Amino acid sequence: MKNLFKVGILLAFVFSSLVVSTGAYAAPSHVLRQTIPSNFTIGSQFYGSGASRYATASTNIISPKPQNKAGVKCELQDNAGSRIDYKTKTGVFGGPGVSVTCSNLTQNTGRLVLFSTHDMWVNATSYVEYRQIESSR
Amino acid sequence: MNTWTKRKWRGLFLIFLILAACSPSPTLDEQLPPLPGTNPFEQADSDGGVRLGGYGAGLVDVDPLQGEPLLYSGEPIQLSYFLQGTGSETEVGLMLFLDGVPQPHQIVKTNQQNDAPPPDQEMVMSKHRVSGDGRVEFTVAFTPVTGAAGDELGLNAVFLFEPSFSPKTENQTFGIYHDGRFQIPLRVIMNTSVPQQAEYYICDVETTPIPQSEKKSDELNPSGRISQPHFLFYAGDFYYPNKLIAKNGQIDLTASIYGGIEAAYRVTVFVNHQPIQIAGHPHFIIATRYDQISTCRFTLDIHDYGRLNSLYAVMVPAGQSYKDNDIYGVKTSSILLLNDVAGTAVPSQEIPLSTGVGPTAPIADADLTDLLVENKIFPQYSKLLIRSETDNKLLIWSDAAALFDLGSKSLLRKKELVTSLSHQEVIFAENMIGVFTKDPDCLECSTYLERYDGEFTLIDSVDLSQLLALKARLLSPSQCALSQSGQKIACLNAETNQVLIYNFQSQKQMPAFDFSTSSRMDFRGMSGLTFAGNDRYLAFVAQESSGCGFGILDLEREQLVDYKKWDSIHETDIQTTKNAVYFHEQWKGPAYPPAGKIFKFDLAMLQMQEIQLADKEESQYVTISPTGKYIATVVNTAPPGAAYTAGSIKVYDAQTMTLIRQIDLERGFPDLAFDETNRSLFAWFWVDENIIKLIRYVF
Repeated sequence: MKNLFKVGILLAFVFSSLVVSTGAYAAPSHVLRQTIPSNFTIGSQFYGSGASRYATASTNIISPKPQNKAGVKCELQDNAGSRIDYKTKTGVFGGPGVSVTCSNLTQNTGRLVLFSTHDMWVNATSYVEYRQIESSR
Repeated sequence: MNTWTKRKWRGLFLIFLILAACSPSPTLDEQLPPLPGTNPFEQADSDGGVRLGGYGAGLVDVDPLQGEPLLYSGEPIQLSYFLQGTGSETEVGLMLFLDGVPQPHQIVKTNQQNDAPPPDQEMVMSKHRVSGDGRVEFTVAFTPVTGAAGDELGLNAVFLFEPSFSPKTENQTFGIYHDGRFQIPLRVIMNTSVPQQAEYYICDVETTPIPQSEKKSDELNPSGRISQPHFLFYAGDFYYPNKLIAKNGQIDLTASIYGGIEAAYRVTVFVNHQPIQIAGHPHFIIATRYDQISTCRFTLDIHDYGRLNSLYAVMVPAGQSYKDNDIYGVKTSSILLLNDVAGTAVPSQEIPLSTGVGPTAPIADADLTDLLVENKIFPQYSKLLIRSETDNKLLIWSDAAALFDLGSKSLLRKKELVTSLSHQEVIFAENMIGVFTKDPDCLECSTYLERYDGEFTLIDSVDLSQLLALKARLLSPSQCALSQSGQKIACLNAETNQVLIYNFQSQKQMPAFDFSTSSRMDFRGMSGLTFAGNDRYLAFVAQESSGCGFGILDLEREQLVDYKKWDSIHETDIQTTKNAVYFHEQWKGPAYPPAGKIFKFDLAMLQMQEIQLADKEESQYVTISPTGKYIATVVNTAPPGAAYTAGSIKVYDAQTMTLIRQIDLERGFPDLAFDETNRSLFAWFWVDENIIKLIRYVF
């Protein structure tokens, strides 16, 4: 019986590890980005007002090797779709994260649109997310 | 079960729950470097954002981090990729680059259920689709486009986000659509050579010092040297445009690279996801220097393209640079490129059938036979040839030459030509018409080239036997070609099978191409010589000791670029566009039945592609539109044994091979000429032995 108990503990340990390590198994299918690693955190945000509005796009960077340059891109457009600013930034191997700022120094008023690209690596798999946000003023 | 046992099992269950809840992070995460305690970006995440899409991508069964090479020993290389959905359905394109050269590939296997990419079709970019919670796995196969035995080459894969996205109007742009993600490069070891080697055309770069404002010096980097490469792709002084407008169908562009180690990058420019030639070269090399911005300037000619186009460049480390961890490739963001000479902003796929485009467009089919009758143009001695000119004009070349304005249906100019029963070959060059002519009953008589300008005035008449210092009997009009610029001719020496080339501009005979010194010693004769690609290439059909084949010569590098044996190939009709050469089939008896194939040789990719027609009979009479956008075929639908012909014309979209229009003639078998600006097709045919018709069909 003592041996049976030990085997039971072992089985329980193995089973529990399996359940958690395959994230897709644990999450219901409708959950957004269920297969993106949980430590993939991105952001995009407008700041400022008037002709000094700017927007940032950011992501944390996981790079298994130096050549896997994960990074962010931002493209800021005015209401007519003209590009006001475009920037890219590549992460540093081992670095905690990276953000890039697109600046508007010309449009006093009116809607601005920020397109952002956020990517990361998990070993040899690349993940990328694309977003779009609009300025509220 | 006694109490003790129950307690044991309860304990076991409790341990199970604790372990399940407190077990370490997922296996995936265990392999990751440690993350910061608090993420600096979580607070900045905006609520107002919209997720446009996303995906995960990688290789199946190959770990690129292990550095295991792929081997090429003569069989196509196969690679399997996966795409992981991450929340919403996303289209993803795949492009491969070997040593920086675009590498066509074909899909040999995919588990994609809906809209799967076509199998066994070579593509520069394959498109795949993955659902929000799905996983797609597919296998691609390719034969290297370059590489000699012993070479070790870098293979880069690039995934593109929503490659089918295209702005619907001129006021929209691509934003982040078409964003390109480079994968970890793989090594390819060439155990055997492939027939062709990619050219290494080095762009003559301008170098300027990197502005001090770009540099950031600190204790570790006192010079401020930039360690990572930076790429710029722009027009004039305007950095990072997302929309450009061509002027007269052309646009001046600049590609710049700076930063990182000194390296060579291969640059390919793409329009609508297809490589476009720059000054006759499919790609070029930019070599970078420390502390300098290396800039290459070039002009893009898009006057044959539609109104709205995508434009980007892919810059990839060439040679052994791909191994360096500090440099990498980039796909520049897609730019909306407007072609100012392309008529209208309405995308071609949205044009209703039979309405045409632009102010001069026909709105319905039109019988233009009266133009021939009223102006007394009747082909008695010469074949009738027609070319659609710009500005809604039509050039007719027969016993007389005539130019018509189709808008006003008026004759602009006409000139009777001195015609006889001579053997003639007429070639429409860019700004002139060339006529090779010879008396067919006189073997020892010379072959002449007569060149006419746009006013139909004879520029000169050249005795080719004298010019090429060749016996007259060794030359024939059907074995000579005039280049598109009108400045080069190529003629075959019928005795030696040497191709003789003369440049009128430099007034020099260029080195002859001698097949007897190549691996192709079994050629018994050649025909159909046709210049292509800014006079750089020469297409031909070769008669072998058994059957036929066709190929392309690179006149600059004096080498055979490609050759394919195909017995039923048409021996005289080779058609060209700016970027491609088209061969098609011909009925040569029951031993060589046509297979319904058109062969397209892409001059940018230096790759042969096959276009399969639905009906095998269709490949015998083929007309390609000037830009290659449309393909027309004709088959005879008259009953067997009938004393007349009845041509059935089919017009296809060359990209999708979708049938756009079918025209069934009751009598006659037509010749065809496209006017793709106005989406129309000129067809001329004999209804009986005395009546010729000229009809314009819109599609």
